[in-house]
Amino acid sequence: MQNPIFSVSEFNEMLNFHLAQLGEVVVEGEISRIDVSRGQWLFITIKDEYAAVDVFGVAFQLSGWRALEEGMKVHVYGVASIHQRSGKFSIRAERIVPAGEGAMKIAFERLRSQLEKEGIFDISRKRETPRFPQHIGLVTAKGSQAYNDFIKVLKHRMGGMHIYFSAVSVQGVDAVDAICAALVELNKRDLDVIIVCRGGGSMEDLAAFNDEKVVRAIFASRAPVMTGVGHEGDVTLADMVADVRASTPSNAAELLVQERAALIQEVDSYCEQLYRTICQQIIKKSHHVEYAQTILAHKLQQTIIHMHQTIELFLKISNSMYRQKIREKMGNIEQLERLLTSFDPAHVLKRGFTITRNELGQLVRSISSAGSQLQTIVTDGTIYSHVHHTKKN
Amino acid sequence: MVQYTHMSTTRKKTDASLAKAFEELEKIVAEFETGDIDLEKGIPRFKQGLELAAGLKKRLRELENEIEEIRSRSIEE
Repeated sequence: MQNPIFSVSEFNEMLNFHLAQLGEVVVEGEISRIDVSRGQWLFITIKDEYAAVDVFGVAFQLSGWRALEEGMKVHVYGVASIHQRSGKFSIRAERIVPAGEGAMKIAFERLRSQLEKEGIFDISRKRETPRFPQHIGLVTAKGSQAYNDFIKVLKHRMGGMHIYFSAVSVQGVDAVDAICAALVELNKRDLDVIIVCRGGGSMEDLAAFNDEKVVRAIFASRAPVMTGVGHEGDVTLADMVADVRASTPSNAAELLVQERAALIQEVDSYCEQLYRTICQQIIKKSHHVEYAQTILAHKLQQTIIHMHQTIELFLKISNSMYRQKIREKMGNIEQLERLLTSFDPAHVLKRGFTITRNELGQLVRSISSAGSQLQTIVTDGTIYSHVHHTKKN
Repeated sequence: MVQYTHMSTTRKKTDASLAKAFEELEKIVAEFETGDIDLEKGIPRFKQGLELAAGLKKRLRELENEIEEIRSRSIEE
């Protein structure tokens, strides 16, 4: 049987058809060359001790490609294919992830420093979670220890909350996309906070939480994000970008809500405080009233005393003034009396003066009115006499 | 969709009541701590504080949380 003759195009097509039957392959190798064309296409060569193979990738489809560097051991997930026009064989990569702890650490550091430069981890953009979150998004694996721990601790601490749970795979091929999609979906709701958590694992297990796409999805989240990934010591890039980082899923629940007992105690202490202050106020006010009463009584007493004193003083003053007046009046009267007395003709007669009248009874003040007979009144009687003669001075 | 719209309205109400009640209670306590209270106004305020506290305690004693599973589009597909 004669071999069929292919055109070059047919041959390449035929090879691609057969290669496609392989489905996704994962090839481990060390990067020996990495070229980025116009920031869009990646041309990589990976090798082991004995062989090399080319890898082609589209930059925007390869999350975290910037972390890749020559000498790094990677796992390339992709399909084998031949470039139709050039006939060059390569693995068309869908995902390239650092392999092994060493490579992953290097990739982690590179991505971390790049994102840090972009300001993605800036403290200034961290948001606080509300004190009383009521609507909580939860992104983790269904039935996982992380889920159980979070729900259990949350329930123990506080009730009456609504949890919107989005089940995702937290490791493996689908993890990155699933976590990103869950964040987008939950952000369509008006949530107080979104918790992204998973239990501990190796660095490889936690790879999705060090993935650039996940980091950016957390960065873009409308609701504040709290992470609780791995064990105490594990810090992923997702933790760094999150608004709040809890060390474990249980710790996330602890940081998210205060314990009801503590809150009830707080409410009780508020009540006590209110009661105490109002009592103090009442006591204070009643003291005020008592004080006011005392002051008032004292004032009243003082006023009465003062009034008494005033009256007494008035009486005293008025008495003395009255007496003075009387004295003055008396003095006047005495003076008048004296004056009057001095006018009394009897007194004048006593002093040797006499009153002389003529026979007509007229007072004789001059020799012309003397007439022939005179009556001379002295102090003890009247002398009747005849005028002998008169002589002018 | 209708269900969510309904939920979001009732939700706002409960959110507001819990956080606001706490805030209000703290405010009343602060008023009592700092100011010279007018007893005539202070006593109704005191009563309001105690009512808020009772409501809060009742709310805090709730035991259960409601869990609703959300499916994101990429998972459904």
